[in-house]
Amino acid sequence: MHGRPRKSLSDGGSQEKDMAKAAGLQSLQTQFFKNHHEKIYTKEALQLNAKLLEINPEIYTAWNYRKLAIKQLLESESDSAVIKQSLDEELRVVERALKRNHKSYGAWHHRKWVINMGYSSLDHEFQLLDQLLKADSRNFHGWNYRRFVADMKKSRDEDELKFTTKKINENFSNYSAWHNRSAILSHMLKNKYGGISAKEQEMTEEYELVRQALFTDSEDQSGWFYHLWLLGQTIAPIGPKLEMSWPSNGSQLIIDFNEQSHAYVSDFDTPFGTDRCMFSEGIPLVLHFSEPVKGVNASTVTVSSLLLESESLVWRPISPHGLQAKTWVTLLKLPSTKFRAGETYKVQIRVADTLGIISLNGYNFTCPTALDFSLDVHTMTTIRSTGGNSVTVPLAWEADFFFPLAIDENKFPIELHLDSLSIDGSGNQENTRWQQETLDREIKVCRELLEIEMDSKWAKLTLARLLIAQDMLSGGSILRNKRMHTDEVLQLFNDLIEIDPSHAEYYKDQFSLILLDKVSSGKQNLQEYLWDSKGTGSLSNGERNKWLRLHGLSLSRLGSLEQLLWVQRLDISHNRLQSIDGLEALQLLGCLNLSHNLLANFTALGPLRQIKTLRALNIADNKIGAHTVNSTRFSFPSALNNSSISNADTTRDADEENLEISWEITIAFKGLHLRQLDIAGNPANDEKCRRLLMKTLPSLKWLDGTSVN
Amino acid sequence: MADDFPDIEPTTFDTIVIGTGLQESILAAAAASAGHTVLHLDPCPFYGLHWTSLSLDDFTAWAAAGGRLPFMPPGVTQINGSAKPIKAPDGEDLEIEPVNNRVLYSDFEISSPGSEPLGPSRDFNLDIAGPKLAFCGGPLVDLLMKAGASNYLEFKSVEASYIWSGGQGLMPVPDSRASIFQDRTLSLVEKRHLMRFFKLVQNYCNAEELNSEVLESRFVDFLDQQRLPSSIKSIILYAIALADHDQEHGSLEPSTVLKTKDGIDSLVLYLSSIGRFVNASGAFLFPVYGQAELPQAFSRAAAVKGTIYVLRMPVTALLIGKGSGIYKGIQIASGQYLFSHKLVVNPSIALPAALSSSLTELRIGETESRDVHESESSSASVAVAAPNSSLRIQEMPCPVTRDPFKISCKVARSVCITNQSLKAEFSTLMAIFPPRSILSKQQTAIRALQLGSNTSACPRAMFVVYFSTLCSDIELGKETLTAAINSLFIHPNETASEHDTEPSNNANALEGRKPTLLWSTFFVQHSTECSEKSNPIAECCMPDETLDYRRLVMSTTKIFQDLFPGEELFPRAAESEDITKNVDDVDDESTLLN
Repeated sequence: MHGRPRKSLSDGGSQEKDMAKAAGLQSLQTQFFKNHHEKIYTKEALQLNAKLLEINPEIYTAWNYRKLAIKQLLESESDSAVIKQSLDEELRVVERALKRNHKSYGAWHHRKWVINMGYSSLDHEFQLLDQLLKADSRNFHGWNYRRFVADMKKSRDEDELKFTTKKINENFSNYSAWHNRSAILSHMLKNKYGGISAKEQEMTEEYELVRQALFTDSEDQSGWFYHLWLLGQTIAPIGPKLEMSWPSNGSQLIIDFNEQSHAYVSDFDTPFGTDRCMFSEGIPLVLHFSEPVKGVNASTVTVSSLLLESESLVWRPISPHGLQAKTWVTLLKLPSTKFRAGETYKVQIRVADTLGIISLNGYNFTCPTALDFSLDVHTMTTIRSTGGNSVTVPLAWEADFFFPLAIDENKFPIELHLDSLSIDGSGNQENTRWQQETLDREIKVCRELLEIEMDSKWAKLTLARLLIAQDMLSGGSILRNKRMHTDEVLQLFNDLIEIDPSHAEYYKDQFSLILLDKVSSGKQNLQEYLWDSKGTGSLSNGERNKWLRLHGLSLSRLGSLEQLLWVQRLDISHNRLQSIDGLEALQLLGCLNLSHNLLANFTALGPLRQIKTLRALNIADNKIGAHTVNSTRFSFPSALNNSSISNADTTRDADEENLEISWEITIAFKGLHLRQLDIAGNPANDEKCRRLLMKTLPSLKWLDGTSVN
Repeated sequence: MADDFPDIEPTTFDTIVIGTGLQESILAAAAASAGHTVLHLDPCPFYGLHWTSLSLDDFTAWAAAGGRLPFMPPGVTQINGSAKPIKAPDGEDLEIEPVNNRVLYSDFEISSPGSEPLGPSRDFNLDIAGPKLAFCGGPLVDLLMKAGASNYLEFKSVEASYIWSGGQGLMPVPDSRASIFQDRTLSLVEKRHLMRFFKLVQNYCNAEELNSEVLESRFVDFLDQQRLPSSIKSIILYAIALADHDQEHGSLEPSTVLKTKDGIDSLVLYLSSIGRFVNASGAFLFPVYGQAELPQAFSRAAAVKGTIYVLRMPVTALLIGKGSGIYKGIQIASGQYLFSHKLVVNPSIALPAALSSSLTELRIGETESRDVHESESSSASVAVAAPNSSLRIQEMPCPVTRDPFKISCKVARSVCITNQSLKAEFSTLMAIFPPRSILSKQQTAIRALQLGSNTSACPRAMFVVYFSTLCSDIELGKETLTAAINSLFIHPNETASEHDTEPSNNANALEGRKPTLLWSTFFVQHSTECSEKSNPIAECCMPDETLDYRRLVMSTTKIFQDLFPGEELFPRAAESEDITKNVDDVDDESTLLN
């Protein structure tokens, strides 16, 4: 009943009439509550209740009262004929209530409850449903209920599918029917068709069907949504995958120690050629999965190396809450006493030899993967420590200090290292011919439509998604140099921002993701973003520091971070970021420039808390404090729902008005060892805030460039 | 005769209407509803006249009589012996002008190839002016509602529409969003173009974006500009815009060209008709029990407003003022004189020359009409058997017009009875044969309408199929209709083995068997045009060659405005206290259909 003006509830009666009605309803209600309170379930009381529900089916208590009455009857009555009779009466009450409002949740729920008793004719329910869906074919309550009855009746999926086909033929602008179709198909594909070819045939027919809708009315979104669902089913990887690791497979790390036995690890397999990092506690091992998983532990991931000490490694999920994360980290301790210069130590990691890593959707990680890297102990105690507390100059963020990185092509030892993580386990699903054919065909169809409907936002968006999917499929997430369509996809999103301004923010997000994917997908593309800084600041260690600078790209969202696990210094300033979700994957990150973005509160910096290596942070010129998070309205981390923050974390002396910001600062920074923080140019940057920051971050040396003491 | 009938009281009316055809009935109802006193007469014992629906026996009798309806007097009129002078109510001496009836049908051919009896005659309601359909959103439905006549009717909607394609047989017409979606014969690109075109057309109409030059241009050129593939073009022209003449080939006379304006109007009406009534699946409605229900419903509405009805009452003469030459009244078969200011006559009545207001136009008219007149009069003279001394032959000079047949065109019609539906899943359906689709020399579109027992057109397990095509040449009309009939049906004497030997029928064999033709009638109906000036005498017209009632309503409106200048046809306000009830009826659209 879309697009029909709602009729006024008062049927044109005079005001007195309405008043009389209200009074009648009120007295009914009073009587009902009295009955309810006194647990009176006589026939008269039930009739009164039915009368009330007929006028107003939205009184949930009244439905519950009926349930109580039935329960009492069931306890005392053994004659099934009597029970059936009163249950049939319940169904009639529901029908009358639904006539009043066919979208009353309470009434529908009551009907389900009654039918569930198993006394009533399910065929009769189907007949009623046919009538209802004839009158209002898009009543989602009706569709829901149909699924419920079909399930009870154990109707054949094929018959239910036929019913949706009939409804779609009548009018294909019917989300409910398409949705029911997707539900039935999911069920069919899951249960009946083990054979891939049967699924492929079924899916091909669905594409064929929805294509008719897309071409008949290219502006109707219901078909496009179904198409999107089909696309998801077509390319969906079954179960989580291991996407990336650090150190990457086959890489060779060179270790130097200083006199304090701090390990300096040089990674030759970064796009910089080499990048050196100091670890005092041990080398982190980072595993990045394609979706959040749980169950990463010493039994599901085995690490074998001579270096390993007797106790098993503890894997930590990089996630603010819960046990699921895309990124998991453990520390490989490097006791200097065990090393000998000139030796090479192999480290082997085997993921999922045994089952136990499970995705959020309950899928098992089923492609056992092995990867290895080697540690070359170069020299012992040759590097003099310049870092630490003795440095007196803060890190300079300014652009003047950066120089494009001069890359000596010859110095890249292995051209494809970044591109070939080669965690190519035996279990990896082969891209089927069918997937390729389907994508090729759908891309062709979309292009055909766009020739006629040049400005169809749905066709453009779908084409973009198809092209992305094709790139993913032909390249996997591994061979990044096979991105064929990136530029076209970026152009499509640019067009979409123009022609559909009301969804511009979404398109900008997608644009950002594709851009980041492009940037991070190979040495050639990365090259222009690699910089050298001449800084001599807190973290320079006396050397030139290598930066990845993704500044001024209008990014509104972060993605493809799994490709950047090696990054230690990241500049993403002068973008449009409101959130930095996902950044926690960068477990080697030491310096981060987030200035000139749109971050609106400290809570948005939450992911930083997971990056223990972070030492210098620039969040100047954002909007922090402009928009505080109302922690009672959202399930953001807050004092009430975040178990990771104990009560002890709170600053006890925080006065009332600062309580909120105090929480936010705690959430973002507690436990970090920042030495340098730049926060100027934010609304929240007042004296109190600074005091709180210093309290939360005792390691802080410089705040906004001035020494803290 | 006078003894058989009691006198009609009163004897003076505002308007007398002769014949209960659709147009006459609408006028009677409209006049009565506007407060005028009306007397409505019909020579037949039933309603409808040229719009009637007959039982199988009556239909056969009608065909055997060469198209003369029962009680319709022959083409000559008996003159009363008494020459007693009569006066009009205003005192003027009157002259009696005998009325001549003409037969507007010819070339009947009945064949009943089926040997088995067809069932009770009364179970058939066969239209003599079929096929005709009303657009759900068309003016006739509006008129029915305004007149309150819809209360007396029940409709069935046409479930599906097909177009004949030489190679593939009957193909569904993609005329709505849902049917375009379901169609699997159009390519995806064609679907998109067609839907785009439908939307464009609707927007054009709303925004009147098109300039007058485009609106006056040929619709077929407009379609070309829209880059529509020729298969779609043909569908739009003949199955949706319902063009009669071949728009694509050869040179067209200006009168047969479908203008862009009219094409778009038709399309808009067609598209807006789909979905107007929740329980009507397509664009068209057909009244249960046949087309005769329409005039009957209007007559009932007229009766409610006080119109006096007398059936089985032929009119024998008109009364003309001796001095003024103005119409004053009529004499009916009972011999009674009745007076009125205005007169509405059905097309069978040939008016005396002096009274026929459209005479001047006719003299300018085409020579063709004269041919028809001659052939018609010769066939009519066959019907006039047993010459009697008291009869005066029509051809006598004064006062009968020499050229009473204002024939505009001829329509070849055929009624067929079959044993099964053309499409198993539907019973009420329409089929269009575009020009040149069935014969290379076929110049006009053929329309076919199949009705099943649910419209009460025929008994169960049978179907009635009406065919019609506009024809200038009777032989050609017969030939094309026969070809269309043969393409859809098989004759019972054609044995199955004969079919098997024909390889071309293999495709049909796969689809299931064609229906068997049990009974068929072919005839030619001559159309007439309404008089140009309709006061004080309005001449109504024959059922025209179009499929729907738009032209009829338009000419009826014009006649009414001529008859009653300044008055509106069924003004809303006239419904007075009934208004709320009627509004409810209109809103509750389901009441119109069942």
